Amino acid sequence: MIGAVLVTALLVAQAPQDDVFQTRVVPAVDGVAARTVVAADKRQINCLDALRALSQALNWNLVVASTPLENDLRFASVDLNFADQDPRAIAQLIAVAAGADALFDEPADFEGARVTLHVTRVPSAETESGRQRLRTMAGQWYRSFLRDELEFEPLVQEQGVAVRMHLGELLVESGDLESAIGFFQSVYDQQPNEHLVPALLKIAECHLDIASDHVDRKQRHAEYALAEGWVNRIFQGVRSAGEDAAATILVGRAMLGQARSAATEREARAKARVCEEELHGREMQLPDSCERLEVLMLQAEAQALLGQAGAVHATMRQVRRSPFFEQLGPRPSRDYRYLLGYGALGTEDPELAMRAFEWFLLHAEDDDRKGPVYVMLAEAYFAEGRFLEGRAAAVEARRRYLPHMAETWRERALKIWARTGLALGHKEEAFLELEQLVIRGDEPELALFLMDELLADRQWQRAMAVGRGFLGRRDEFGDAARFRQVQALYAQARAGGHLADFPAQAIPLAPKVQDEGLRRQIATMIGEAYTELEMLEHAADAFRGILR
Amino acid sequence: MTDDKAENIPAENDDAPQPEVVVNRDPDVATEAADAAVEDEQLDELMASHGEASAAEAPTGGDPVVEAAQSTAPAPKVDLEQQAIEAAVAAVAEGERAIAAAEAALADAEPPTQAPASPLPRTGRDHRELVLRVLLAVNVVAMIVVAMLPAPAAGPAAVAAPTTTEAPAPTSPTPVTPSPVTPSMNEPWNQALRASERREWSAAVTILEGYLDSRPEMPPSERLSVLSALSFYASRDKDFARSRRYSQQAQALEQSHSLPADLVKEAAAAVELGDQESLRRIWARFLLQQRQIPSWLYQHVAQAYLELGNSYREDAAAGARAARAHALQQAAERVRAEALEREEKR
Repeated sequence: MIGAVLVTALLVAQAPQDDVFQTRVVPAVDGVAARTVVAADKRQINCLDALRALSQALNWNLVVASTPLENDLRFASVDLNFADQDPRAIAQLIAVAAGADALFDEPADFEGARVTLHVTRVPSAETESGRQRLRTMAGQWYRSFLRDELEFEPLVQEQGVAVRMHLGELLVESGDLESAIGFFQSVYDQQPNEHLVPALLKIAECHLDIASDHVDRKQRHAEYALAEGWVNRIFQGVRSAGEDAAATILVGRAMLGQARSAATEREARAKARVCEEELHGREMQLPDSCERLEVLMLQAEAQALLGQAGAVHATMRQVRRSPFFEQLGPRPSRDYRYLLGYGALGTEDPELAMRAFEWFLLHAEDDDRKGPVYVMLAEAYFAEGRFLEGRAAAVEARRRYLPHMAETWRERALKIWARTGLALGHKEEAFLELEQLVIRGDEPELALFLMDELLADRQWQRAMAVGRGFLGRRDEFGDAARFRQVQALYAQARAGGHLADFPAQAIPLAPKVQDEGLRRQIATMIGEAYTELEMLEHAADAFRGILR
Repeated sequence: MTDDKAENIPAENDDAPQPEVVVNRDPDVATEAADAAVEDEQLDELMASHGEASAAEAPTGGDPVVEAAQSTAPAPKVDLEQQAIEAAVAAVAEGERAIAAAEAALADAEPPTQAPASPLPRTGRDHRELVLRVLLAVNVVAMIVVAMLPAPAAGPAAVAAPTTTEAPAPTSPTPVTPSPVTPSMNEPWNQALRASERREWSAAVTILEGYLDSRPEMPPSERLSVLSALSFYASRDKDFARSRRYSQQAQALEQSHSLPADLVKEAAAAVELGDQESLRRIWARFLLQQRQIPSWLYQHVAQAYLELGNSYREDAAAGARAARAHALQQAAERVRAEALEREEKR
């Protein structure tokens, strides 16, 4: 009998306590969905039993990660005395009280599926996933801190803004930039406060990061514009020198982003010009520092977008002279080499360009400018007469980076690839591949380049065949193609001794050329042909621009 | 602990009224009754001393009831506990009446030569023996039930119940073990312990009462320990009214708003020590009893959430810093190795 009593008593003692938690459904009010809340009033209950009872009350599955953890939960006891609390927060608190963590698996998408509560050890900060979980937990507690019922607590009044900043930063680190912007914006809305400028900087950074992830050009442009708008609010208020420099860097990035994502070349150049002027004006107000050097490099990028290689080169010399040059981080150091090479190449200093690009490629593991740098390196080698190295760089650029390049760089890549091929005597192969590329896609610059190369190689008929597709265009490429067509006809007529046929072939093309300079050159060619044919009156008219 | 309840049983014994019973002077009956009483006392002694020594000494393994009681430390159920105590008290009173009857029988017993003369007392003796045996069995079962009932877990906050067993007070875990006791507490506490060792329960009570009165600002956890000890010593002094009063005070204190105050102090200490793990546990325990947080402590709810958030954020940030440093170090080593490789190639 005693044994039976003992067994019964033990079973009673170990059974989960069903009546620990009382649940209640709070009906939906003002658009807030209905939710279940729990209440409990229980002393000295061990955490394992508490979690079991909670899971039972909420119809959850409970999974404890390991037996030692289960023992730890059993050894830790808590007093429960609360009402109308979120059951998940309570589960988390019970787990934390036992030095553990609680995670929820939402139910699968079928009837009868249940939420699963996983109880695990506190995640390790040594792994990225662990850090991510820690950030999530920190965010949960910060949100509880900011909840409505504590709104008027002095501590919340005092620390609320700082906590919002922390919460925003945690979300940024978690990659949830949109939500982070919301918290930073709430800091801005509660101005004046000491976190105002940092919050504005963070908002701008978030917009810049969102922009860089957008594939759609319009959305990218819009995000860059938003970033610029937020940074400009900093310039309207009081800020420290450090904040001023940070804001200048961000405004430069935002304006350059807009220039790069502009709909047209003209808009891009216009924005780049504004950016260059803005940064130039602000850079002069900054004390010499690493940040100022970064501003200078952004200014040089704007100059590069404007095609001002000389200005870029001069700006880079200015950067090099700064005592803070040696303190530049890895990314600014790469920027410096990229821009230095660009400026040197444009200012006929291919050797310096070559060295700068070699350094860049050595240190750029996953830099998205590697393609253009290979192109420029090939051009630098080519200018140095190192055709073999130039060919290798051009082949690398074409094979690995061509699909990811912008149109301008794509054309330059193909040109230098063809040029180096021609220089190395792979003429036919280069011409054939270029012809295929021109026929396959709309590559007017490449077509003109090929025409020039074919004309230089005295393959006039082939040059005319390449340009034939562009003769109907009413733009600068059409003019250039028509002009080269006339050049090819003239050279072919002279070489074949059929000069008399030339004026009749050239005169229909000449009026279609809108560029006056080119039209004048065509007239001159026709005049010269008439002169050689001893048709002096026609020649004189042709020289005067009258073609007949 | 459940052991406390076991200790309760004989305590009521001593205080139980001595029933007036008609006794037989049969010496056999008297001897058997006396044996039963001695046996009962020995059983009480065994239960009580086992329970009291359980924390300090390893259990002998001879008493499954005590072992079961020690192995299970479930949460308390106040109403059940009260009912159990009442049942136990009733059972013990019954037992006590039987013992008293036996003692009376022993005192009034006739010479053994006269005993077998009458056949009637023989039937009465059997009947009484049966009653005694039943009562003893009921007593034992009642003690087992009391021992198995859920009670507060062991620890400084546990409430000591009155007991009459000879308890090795200095080693008794429940009422004597002080939780975080300040140095100033040691002296009166030790004095009370020494008095209890000498079985001067009244002196121990006086010492602790004086100590309690001298420190009105005593932290709640410490006050709980002192009240528990007072309840214990008063019960040993057979002042059950006082023991009950202190027990009730301790229970009220345990269920009052004081515990969150303790947690707030513990949290402050954990912050000073930079012990983030403890800080999280403390604030979690604090937040789980929000309904008993008084208004003057409510500010700490916000503080708890804030420090929980800070704790996890700082952990993540420290991890990220370490990871970045590690990555930088690796990158530097790789670049250095590449440079060396290039040098060798040249």
